[in-house]
Amino acid sequence: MYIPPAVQTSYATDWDNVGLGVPGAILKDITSSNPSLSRAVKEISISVAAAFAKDAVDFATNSVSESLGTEVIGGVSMIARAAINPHLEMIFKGINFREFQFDFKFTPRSPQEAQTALNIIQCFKFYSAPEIKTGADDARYYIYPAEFDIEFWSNGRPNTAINKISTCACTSVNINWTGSGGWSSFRTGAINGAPVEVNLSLQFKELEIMTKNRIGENF
Amino acid sequence: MGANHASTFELLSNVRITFLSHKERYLTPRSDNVPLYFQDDVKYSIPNMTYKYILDMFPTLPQFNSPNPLNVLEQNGYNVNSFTYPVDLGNDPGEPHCIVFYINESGNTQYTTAPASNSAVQLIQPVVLHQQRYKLITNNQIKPIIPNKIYPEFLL
Repeated sequence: MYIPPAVQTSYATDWDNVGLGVPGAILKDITSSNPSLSRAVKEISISVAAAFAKDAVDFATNSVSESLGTEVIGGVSMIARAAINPHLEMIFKGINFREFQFDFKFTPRSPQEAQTALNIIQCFKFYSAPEIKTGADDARYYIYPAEFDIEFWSNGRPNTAINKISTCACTSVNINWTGSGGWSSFRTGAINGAPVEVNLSLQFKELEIMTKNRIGENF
Repeated sequence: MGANHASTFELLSNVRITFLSHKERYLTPRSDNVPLYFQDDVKYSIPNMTYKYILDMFPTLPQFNSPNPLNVLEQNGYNVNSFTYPVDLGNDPGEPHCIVFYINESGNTQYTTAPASNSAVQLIQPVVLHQQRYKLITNNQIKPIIPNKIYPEFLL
């Protein structure tokens, strides 16, 4: 089909700010001054370290709060004119699957084109839906919907100027049968009642996480 | 112009008029967003070639020798203010760019595919479609059968 007016790709990474607190700051100081310890800590996965730091902060906070009380800490802070440094650090948490949206507008000029538009729409509806296996035992399970590979082509060959898209699931098929703003259709003929303008919006979610490995391959 | 169903005339490359039966008529510019009218004192502004094309389309209507054929269209019942932005169904031979969808069926689907007959492809390809502007759906050059006779030939 034609390339829709809007073709966008978003690369998003998920970071979170974590308060290391006093224990985390101490650990950071110790590892920075002790190379062997630093190496040992680095061998621990980031997620474990982050979880440890969070637990340590929670433990310290809860312990101090329980023993002194929040009001006491607040009062001391006010008198001393000093607040606890949370030692915020940015922690990389991961990345999300890329999503793509393509909006198409169909304005058939003939019954044949109207049928083609209906076929395309029906095709996406059909293959984006799961199915239920016939038979009593199998009816409890869905059979997966189809997966979609999407390519951009220019001048008879794949377009390498823009990013490639890996295999996707079609997560949404939105159809506006009144694309012209009101109901208007072919009256009779080969396709009775076919809308004269239909808007089709497709949303896809990639089934693969994009890392440097794949982005290096122009994904 | 057919009396029972729509017919369409394409005006060069920037205006398309779709004639529906009776008063359901639309004048639509194409997706290049070329405005057909700008302001009140010059309500309609259309390219000269489009103007000529309209005259060619209606040689028997003397009123179209007006300097403003769209205004005459409006007076004759055409809704020239209802603009929509049509886009070709991937069959404009002058457009070399396209997006191709391959559909990979689930391995245990009940709606399996059948080998392509290529008849539909050969029918359309030399006339409308650029050779590389379509792909049979599914990634192994097969197309779906017609479950319950709902789905005719698929071409994307």
